[in-house]
Amino acid sequence: MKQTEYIHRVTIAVPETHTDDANQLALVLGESASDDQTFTTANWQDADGNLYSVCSTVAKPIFAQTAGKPLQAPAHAPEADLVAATRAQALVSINDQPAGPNRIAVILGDRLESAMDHIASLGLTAVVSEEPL
Amino acid sequence: MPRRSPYVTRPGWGRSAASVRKRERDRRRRWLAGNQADVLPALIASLYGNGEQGAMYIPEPQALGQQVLYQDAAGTVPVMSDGDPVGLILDVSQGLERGPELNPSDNLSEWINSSSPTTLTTDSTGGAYRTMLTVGKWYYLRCTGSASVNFSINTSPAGNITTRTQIRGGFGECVFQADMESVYLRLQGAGSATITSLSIRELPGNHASQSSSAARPVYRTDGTLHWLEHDLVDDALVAELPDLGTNATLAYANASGVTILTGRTISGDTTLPQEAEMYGAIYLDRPLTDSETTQVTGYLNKRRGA
Repeated sequence: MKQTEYIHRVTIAVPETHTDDANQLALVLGESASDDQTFTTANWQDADGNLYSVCSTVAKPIFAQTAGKPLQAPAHAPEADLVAATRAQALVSINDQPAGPNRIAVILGDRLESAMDHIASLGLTAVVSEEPL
Repeated sequence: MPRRSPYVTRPGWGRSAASVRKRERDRRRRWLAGNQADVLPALIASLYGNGEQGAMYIPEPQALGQQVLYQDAAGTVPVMSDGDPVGLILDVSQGLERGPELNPSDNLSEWINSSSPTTLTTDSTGGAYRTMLTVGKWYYLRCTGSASVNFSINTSPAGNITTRTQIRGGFGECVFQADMESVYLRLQGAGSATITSLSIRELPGNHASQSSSAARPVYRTDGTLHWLEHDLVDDALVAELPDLGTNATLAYANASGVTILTGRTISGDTTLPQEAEMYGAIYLDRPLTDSETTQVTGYLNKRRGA
């Protein structure tokens, strides 16, 4: 069987105030015109109660190669907002720090790593729903 | 006459016990795989043979001899390898039998703005279109040809153009749910295209997809078993199911076992079970009979290797 091209697992924590910009970055670095809907609900929190929207996905090596380079609108999203995407890109911290309100913390690991382990190392826990059972 | 077990090999000349054990394991795997292939059409006939509504999702690259897993929601990139993301899984409950050919002449004779039965020529971005789809239905499209500029197949000749597939290397194919009635062959600039074949056929079923790249589960296999791996963060495949009523059944297999939920109300956008390991899922608009419960449980247990 051919080896998959998706050799990484990437988990990204975006502070809720930066989700609009981060969605434009996801659109530019992603593979689909719907990737501007990547970060929707801020349902993860750090120890201080700051809220984050989190996604986790498998990724090709090109993700790591292009994440830090000047951005270009991809074919699937020629009208992507590069200004917003570049603002988000400036906040990206890869394999360096836990989630924080002024950064977009990224864990870039092997494809077989667990998303939940990534989230734990970002210092996040799920927001417990207050709805009655 | 007693039947010999189909997967027994005995040690003999030049065969070590270990090699015989390996041959037996391989033969048993093949037998199981073949047996599952035989079981699936019978199960589909049993559950859906009287016009029942629902869906059946088998997380394996191919089922019923056809590709059923694709990396993208547009159905242009097949899942081939352990670790590939899954953006589209086809519903096999209708047998994956394609409808009649909607472009039977295999050319562009009936297409508006076509230059000839086999060519498109434009002096700016544009192309030919034909109204042939029903909004909401799924279609399989396959095109071969070549072009002097970028060439894509879209829906809608105007307005909200949605690209379905790019013709690259002389070939393009896709599976898509129609959001417009028209199919549009579009050259992205002045140039010409030569069409050698163009097939469009309905692909009945309630296929499930995920358009957002980061929310696609991953296809996993150990070479024998096949499953969808959800990351339990945001992964989800969603199908637009018809109204299955208030007494519907959902059966699925995960790492722990087979779950059969009865008396369910199921209608509209439905997220497939978001299990860490999901080996198969079945939706049906009625309760299972006792024998069907046994049949479904046995089939799903086999899929999870139990």
